[in-house]
Amino acid sequence: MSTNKFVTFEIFRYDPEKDKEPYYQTYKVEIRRPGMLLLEGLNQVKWELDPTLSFRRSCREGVCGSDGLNVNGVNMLSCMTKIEDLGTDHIVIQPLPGMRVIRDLVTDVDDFFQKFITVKPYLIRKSPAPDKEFYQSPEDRKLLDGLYECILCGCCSSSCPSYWADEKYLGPNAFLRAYRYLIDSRDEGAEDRLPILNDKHGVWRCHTIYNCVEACPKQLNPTKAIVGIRRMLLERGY
Amino acid sequence: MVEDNELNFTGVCKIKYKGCKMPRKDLVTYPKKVSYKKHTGMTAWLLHRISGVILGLYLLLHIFGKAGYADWFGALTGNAIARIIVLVAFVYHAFNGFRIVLIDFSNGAEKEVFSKQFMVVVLLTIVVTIIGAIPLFS
Amino acid sequence: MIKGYKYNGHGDSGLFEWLLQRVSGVILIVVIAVHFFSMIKSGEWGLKSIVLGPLFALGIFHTLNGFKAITDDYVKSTIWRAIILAIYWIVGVTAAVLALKVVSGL
Repeated sequence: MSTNKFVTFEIFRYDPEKDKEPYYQTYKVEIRRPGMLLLEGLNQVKWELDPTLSFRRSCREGVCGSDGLNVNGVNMLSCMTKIEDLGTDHIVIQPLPGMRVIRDLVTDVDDFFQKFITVKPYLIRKSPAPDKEFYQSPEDRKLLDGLYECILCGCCSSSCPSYWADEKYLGPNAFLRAYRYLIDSRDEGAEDRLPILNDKHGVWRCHTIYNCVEACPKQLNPTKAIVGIRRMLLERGY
Repeated sequence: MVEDNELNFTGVCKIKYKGCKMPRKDLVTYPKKVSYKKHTGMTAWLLHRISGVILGLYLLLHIFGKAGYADWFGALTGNAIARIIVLVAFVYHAFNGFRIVLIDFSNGAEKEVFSKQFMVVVLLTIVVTIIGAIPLFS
Repeated sequence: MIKGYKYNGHGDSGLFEWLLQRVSGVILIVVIAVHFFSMIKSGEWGLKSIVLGPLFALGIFHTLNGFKAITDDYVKSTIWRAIILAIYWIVGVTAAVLALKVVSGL
């Protein structure tokens, strides 16, 4: 008989069809193995304690980006966070801030994805395509490190006070993705993208608060991308 | 400029959104048990705002006061504590503002760099405030 | 279907304000430091027009542009924003006129 440790999960609950007001519900979650992930705790709640709890998860290994959550006031992926790393027994789990809540921990990421699409996150070619593949030197490829790894979990944008304040603000994620294509040696779409970013709801709205950098589960740096875009805009004289 | 949301939610979702008490606009009133953690950058930003408001009001009232339209203001800022507050606000705002400029025109956007830079800002603020405060009290 | 929003960068993009906010900020650091630290003593340097001129001009801009940024963040209603922005303009112009009066009176 093992003496297992318990932690409390205080989870945001809201079902618009039943509840008038959101509320927080507390669950006791058993730590069943060292290094237990937050997602395992949530699954325990869902499977054993309360099947009405809703949350997103899919690949459970930090690739799909479905399970961005606000845990103890910081945005993170539940599948990449060990409960013991949080350093507390009382864990408050809220949906990502700055997004509409559909139910419980499920947020509406529609606006987020639309902003992502807005910056044209794909290669734009104007010159005719070569016979074989596009050539890219290893040095040029290196520039994309720290930009292409984004999994679109929404942790960065929803951690940003500017994003909370301004409904139309594109958000750190859109800038990171735009910059990934702007500095790609194969891409020729800078003229298409930069006017979109040069907007009062665009890069100039960033107050360099770094919440996005702190929140990113992939250790990417959207602030650096924003700085890069600003430099591009200044150099090109927009 | 953004045009209205062109994307139409599917029918089921649309009904749900109408019932939802928390549209995107009312985010501020969203009931939070734990507010977002104040990381270094966010602390720096909040302090920058607060000190900025203090300095801005001070500058405007200072001009009005010197022009003879707000005599009470001269009396208010005559005491040492008010002066110290303005001094701290200015010194912090200056150094942190310089740090913000460095973010864009140097490599201040690196994660390791900016937290160190913020510590330097805090240290410099303390040191320069003390240096500036000595003549105020002597 | 995801279509994306329509953004089209325009004259009101904020680039100019952003740049001027930084330039004026750096100049203000120098000018205010001179003004403040010289006023503690004799105030000889702090009242020269080469110090006071940029201090007032850039200071008023930097202040009100900063206030505008804060308003944009916390005031949701477009109408209120416009009203507050108008107030900033009135305050700014008044302060500039008074500043001219102060400088010329010295």
